[in-house]
Amino acid sequence: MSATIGLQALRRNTAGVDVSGALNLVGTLIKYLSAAFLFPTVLALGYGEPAWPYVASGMIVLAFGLVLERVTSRGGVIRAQEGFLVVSVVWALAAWAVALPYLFAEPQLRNPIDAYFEAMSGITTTGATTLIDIAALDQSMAMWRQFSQWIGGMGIVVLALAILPRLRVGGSRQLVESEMPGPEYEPLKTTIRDTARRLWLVYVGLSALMTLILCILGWTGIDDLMTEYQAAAHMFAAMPTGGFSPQPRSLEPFAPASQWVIGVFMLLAGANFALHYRAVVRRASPFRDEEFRLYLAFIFVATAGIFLELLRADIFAAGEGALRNAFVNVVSIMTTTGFATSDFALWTGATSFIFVVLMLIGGCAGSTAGAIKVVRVSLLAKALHREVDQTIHREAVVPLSVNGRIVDERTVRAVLGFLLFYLLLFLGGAFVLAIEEARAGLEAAPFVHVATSATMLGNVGPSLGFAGPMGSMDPYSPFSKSVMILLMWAGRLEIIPVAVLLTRRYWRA
Amino acid sequence: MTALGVDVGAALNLIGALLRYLSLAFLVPAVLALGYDEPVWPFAVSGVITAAAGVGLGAMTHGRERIGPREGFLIVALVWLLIPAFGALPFLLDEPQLSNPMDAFFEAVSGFTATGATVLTDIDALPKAMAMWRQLTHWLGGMGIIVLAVAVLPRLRIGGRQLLESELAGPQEVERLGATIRETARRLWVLYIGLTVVAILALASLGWSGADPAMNLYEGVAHAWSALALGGFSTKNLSLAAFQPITQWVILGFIVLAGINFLRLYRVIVQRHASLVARDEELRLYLTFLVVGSALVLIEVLAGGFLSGAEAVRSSIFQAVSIMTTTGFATSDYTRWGALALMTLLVLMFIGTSAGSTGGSIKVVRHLLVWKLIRRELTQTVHREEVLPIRLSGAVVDERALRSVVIFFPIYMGLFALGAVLLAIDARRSHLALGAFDAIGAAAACLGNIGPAFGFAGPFGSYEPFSDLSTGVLTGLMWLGRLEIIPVAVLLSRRYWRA
Repeated sequence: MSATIGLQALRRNTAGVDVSGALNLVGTLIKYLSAAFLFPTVLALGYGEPAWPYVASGMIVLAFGLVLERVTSRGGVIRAQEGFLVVSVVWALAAWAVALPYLFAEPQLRNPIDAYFEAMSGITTTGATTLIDIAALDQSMAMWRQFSQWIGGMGIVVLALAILPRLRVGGSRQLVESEMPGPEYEPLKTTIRDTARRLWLVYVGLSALMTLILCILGWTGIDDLMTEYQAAAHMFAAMPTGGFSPQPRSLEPFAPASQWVIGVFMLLAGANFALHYRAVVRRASPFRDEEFRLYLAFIFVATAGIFLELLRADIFAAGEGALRNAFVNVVSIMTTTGFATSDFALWTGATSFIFVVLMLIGGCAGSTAGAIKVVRVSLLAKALHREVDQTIHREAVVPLSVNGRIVDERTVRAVLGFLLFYLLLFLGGAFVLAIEEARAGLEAAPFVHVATSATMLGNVGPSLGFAGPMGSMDPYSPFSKSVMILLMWAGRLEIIPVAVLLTRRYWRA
Repeated sequence: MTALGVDVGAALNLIGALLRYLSLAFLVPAVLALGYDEPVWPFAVSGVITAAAGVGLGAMTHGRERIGPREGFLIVALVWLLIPAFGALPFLLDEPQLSNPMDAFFEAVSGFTATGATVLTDIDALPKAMAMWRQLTHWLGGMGIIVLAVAVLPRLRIGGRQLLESELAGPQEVERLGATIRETARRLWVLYIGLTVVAILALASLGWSGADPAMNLYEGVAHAWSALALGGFSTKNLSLAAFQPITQWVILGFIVLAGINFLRLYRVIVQRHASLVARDEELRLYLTFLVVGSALVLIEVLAGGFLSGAEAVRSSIFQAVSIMTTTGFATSDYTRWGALALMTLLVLMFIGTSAGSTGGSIKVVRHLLVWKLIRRELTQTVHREEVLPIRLSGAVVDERALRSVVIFFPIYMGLFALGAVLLAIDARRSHLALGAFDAIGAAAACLGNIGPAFGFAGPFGSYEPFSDLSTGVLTGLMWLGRLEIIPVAVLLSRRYWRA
């Protein structure tokens, strides 16, 4: 028990952050994560595939969680300050847990960086892959890959609606319409538990509904390819806006009806889950929410733009096909899912540009989507407009409002700060990738690296060029992949929690 | 007119006065043309047209001399369009390479905004008077930029007077520098002219002493004008590569000097407050950026084996400084250096000079404040209750000014991205072989008032291959970049025009 004493001593010395208490919570969460390995174990047994990788991984994860819990003290209440540490460490460790079966039994992911990349991509619901031959995966392994996203999505719902607002990351306390139960001073653990209880119901409910609808399409013969297995696999990727598919060509082989259904569910997954909850429980119209309306408007405009460009460039003939390809891919990119119904990396320059812009915007706050979020983009537009107004009328005091409620200046500042961070990381990432790949001698247009940086930081998945929706991130060098792992991780946590950990003040009293 | 909130007449009145002054400037190339036995008429005709327009505008708006801050936005936006329009007349009248009005206007905007991007393909072919007029547009533009940066924009609340004055110890000192725009401008112009004279003498004496046979009084004047305005036009196809290393070093020194805030320079040189330099955070960061940028480029050039020895050192430092200070002179064709060096130069394009200099781009002080702001944001995320004012060289910067600084970044980057995309789309339309990186470079170089970009628009190249539409976009970027964007955005808002 000397470790316990050591950590307690540590805790006394750094009165600022209760490291021991934070790690204790991490241990608990990792312990629960081990239960997730039961699912692929059962599948593997059913399909007659080796189950040992999942059993072994589950045992290791369980043991790790228990030990971590044991060597740290339960400590006092986890406050916001410990929250930064908890979320950062949980996502980093959970990705290792997910990576274990890949390392044990998937020859394409033998390299630890590749395995960790694939796992981080799953758990952050990014959907970028380093696999070259997806069809070669075992059925249970492919499903584990899908399932890791769904687990990540559960975490993100809580992260987005309970934790990040409490940590006031990027102004989300005021901006995210949340079903946050209880007042501010409630312990973080209670907030998380109550949010999880309410919103996981929505998440699981929508997941069940989507699986059912897709299965029906399969049973009725509308889509012969849509088996129960495929239905579950694509639900696991659509609800958390992940984007992995067990199909090498993503959604392309499926019938139009399936693509439309998946598109609509991605659209729902990219909206604030608190709105869903309210729509179901209190029958409140989601259309009264400013962010939701703007989100739909963005999707409409982008779909229209891409539809017209597809017709102009003669890529699709006018009709349902062109409209479907425009809509599903726009929704997929804007909600940061990353499914594709066609290799849009091969479309025109204008469509590539629209996709990169959508990658940066992302879905609604409080959803499983990543990137900047619609509400922040809208607040930026309002702040720009006010800046111009105040340049003319100096004395004018113009508060900004969202949904009719005034947003305080501290929140505006936090949003602008977040945007700068995001821009910095996005450009920095593109720059580092471009330099590294120039060094490593990879043949690719610089714009590909710009898109890759955006797609990683926004947890979207596919990039352009060789790393497009039907391609793979495999050609990137191990160093680039490590950078991309960091981008996915930081992007999912909305950057600030990670950046806070890097400041000296955080660790001091 | 009365229904408008802006007195357009008063704005035009001032522009009329500026046009009358501009007409006098045509005397310089006219005299040169007489001396070199070249055609005088283009300058004479341009001068007469400009004077007539100025007198006409003055007469039309007689009695409307009172201008308020509101008219300021309109004036600055129009000045940097109309002055180049008249300044382009000699190009249009008598320069076969610029017979296309769009090209002539581009060249003139590039001159007056001190950008230094050119559509000429053979600069050596210009008559001496015409080449010198081109250099003079830089120098005149520089005078305008000093007033714009130090006196006009801060009054319009752009950039913020605070950011310029910051540590200058309270209101008395501001007072001493001149309470009115006119007085401030006069003093800083004296400094600008003084530095130019020193630069001319330094360069010309290199020629007289035989240290650089290519240098003479004509070239000395031409390059001093361009250097002090941080412009980048040269009279030679080879830019500064046509001169000796010693000349390049001297010009480098003047570029570094011109990139410093002129208010600061005035205090140090004229008022001898040398101790201010050590306390000035912006100046320190500006010099740090210059050193780090030069070192990075040097390492990449040496590692890539593109140049070696003293030439590598000189050329790397020169290119890094020239690009970061938004000048655009070149001593070596950096487009042939590797991808790493080009990337570094691209990043330097977004740094720029100190506020209150003739340089462009984002400016060092904004980078400094954003860095401090980000640090504070992180601290306040954890320690919510703490109130942490942000200081610049010791003085607290007010929150409103900070907000303007932060907002400038997304506006600048947005416009840059839009520019790059428009260029890329138009290049595809007009079947121009323009890589994505080159499109990005051209947009950054014009918006930042730098000049040369990458690819065919490199330092020894030309913007000539761009279509008229792209040339128009680039002209717009130079104009917007020079005005720091906000005044133009203001003109586009409906509230501005209402009473």
